[in-house]
Amino acid sequence: MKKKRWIYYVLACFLGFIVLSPYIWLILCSLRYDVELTAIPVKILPRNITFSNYYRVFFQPRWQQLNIMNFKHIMMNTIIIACLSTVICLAIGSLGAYAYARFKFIGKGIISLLIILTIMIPGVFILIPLYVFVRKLNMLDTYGGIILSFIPFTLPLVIFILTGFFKNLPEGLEDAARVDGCSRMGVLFHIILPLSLPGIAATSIIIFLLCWNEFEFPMALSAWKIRVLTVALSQYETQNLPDYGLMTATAVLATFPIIVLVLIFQKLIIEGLTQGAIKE
Amino acid sequence: MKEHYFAGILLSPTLLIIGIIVGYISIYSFVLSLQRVNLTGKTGVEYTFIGLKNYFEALANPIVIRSIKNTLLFTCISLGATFCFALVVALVVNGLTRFRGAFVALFMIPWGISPVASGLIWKWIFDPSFGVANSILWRLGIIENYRMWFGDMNIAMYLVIVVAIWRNFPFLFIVLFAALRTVPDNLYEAAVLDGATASQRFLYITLPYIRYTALTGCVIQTVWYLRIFDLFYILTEGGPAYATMVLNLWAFKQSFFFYNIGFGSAMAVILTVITLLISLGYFAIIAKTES
Repeated sequence: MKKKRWIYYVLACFLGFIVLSPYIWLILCSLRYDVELTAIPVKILPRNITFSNYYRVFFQPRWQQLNIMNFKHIMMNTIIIACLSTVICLAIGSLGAYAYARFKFIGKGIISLLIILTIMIPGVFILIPLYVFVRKLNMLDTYGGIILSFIPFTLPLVIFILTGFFKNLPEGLEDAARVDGCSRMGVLFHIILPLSLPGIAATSIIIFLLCWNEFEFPMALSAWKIRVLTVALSQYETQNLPDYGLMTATAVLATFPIIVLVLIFQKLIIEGLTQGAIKE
Repeated sequence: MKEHYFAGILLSPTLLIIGIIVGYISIYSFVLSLQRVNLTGKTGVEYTFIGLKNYFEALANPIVIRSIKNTLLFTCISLGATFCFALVVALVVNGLTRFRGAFVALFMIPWGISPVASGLIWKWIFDPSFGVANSILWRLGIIENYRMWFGDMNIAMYLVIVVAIWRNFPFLFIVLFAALRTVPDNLYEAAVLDGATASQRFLYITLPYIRYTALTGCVIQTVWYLRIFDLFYILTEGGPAYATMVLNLWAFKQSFFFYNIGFGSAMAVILTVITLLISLGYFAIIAKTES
């Protein structure tokens, strides 16, 4: 057994190279001048490295950029929407998940069925009535409308993931605290929530990622004022002859923060993702 | 305070929202699918009840039939391929003794890249004139001329599948990897003592052990693949000639590009029914494996 270990390392490196190479290629491209980007045949390594594409993303006159919209503005929109949706969903979902994990009550089976159903429902099924609804409220193209549209698909996931974390807390915690004279709310806020902080963090990161990467809902519900990164990126594709330098640099800027986040919180994300699926 | 009152208070916001989604929005979606909706009528939005006509029209429409077939084809092939690739990666990483964490992190990277950005990256790689794929394949002599990869009816779908695998395998990889960690080592040791080969150990120890987890992961991945939208929107927009049109994309286009909201809703309902039927099948299989 021991002798063959190196094969695993060779295979892992090979697979890793295959998986990473498209992204590395994107980064290499974003560091080139336009002349090199559109050279035929393509050179693998850039001859002159330049950060001018990144500079242009940030400092180009507004009218030249991403169809009249400022990159910083789009980035802020994305951050605000992703953060607010995450916070709202976790505030609502953590209470629900706690009740769901720890208490017995009438209709629990029906509720779990409903939660699974909402996870299964395809986005467009919710999106069309939601669009009519948001339109009626005059909330098209606002933060509120987009955040509202995120809740239906993130909330059931929050409950699904968090329930697993709450169930893992030792039994009898509540009873001990209740005997010491703590109220039910007190138990939740002073004991359960602090103890399940890793679980809450894991869920937040996953939800934040999903909101950041979501495209279908903001695409339908926003037009010009409130655009998020995914929508702005997709607009390069519809241009006839896009500015490839800008496109690659924007793509790197849109994905890099998330990749860093994934790498930092790797362990938490794994824990969150496997929470519902793993059975020992 | 009684336990279930307290539970009720905590659950009420969640129930309210889920109730609105499942109750109100779903029913409304169904109601919309029975109507012709004119968003820019003289008196604002105009609704005309037309019964099941949208469904008859949809099921008689060659593009809708095509997109149903494409959705199922895409889901089947992608799911199988993603599962195999994820399993191979998970087995390889599980075989490492050092740097395991680093490799897990590395393989998670595509999952952080949004489908839109993934689409842009791959579209750029397969660009007909400036793409690196053409350049390399041409230099190696595999292709004679530069090709329009996403413009080729026979290739486009398979290329989207490749991109989908690349972007989505990390989820199944993480799930399978975590499942592999739960297989007790002493089982393998015992099997080695009994003279079992590597493939026998995989078939009779590993596979039964990870079956439940693998199935659960597959349900989730299947549901995600059935509703795929972003990748097709960026890579092919359903073209060429509807060769890569999928249900979610066509429903979206009908609703938000052509404003046929009723027709779009009917397609959304069809997609939902397909999704629910397939998940039901899965649950039946899972229930069987558990007993």
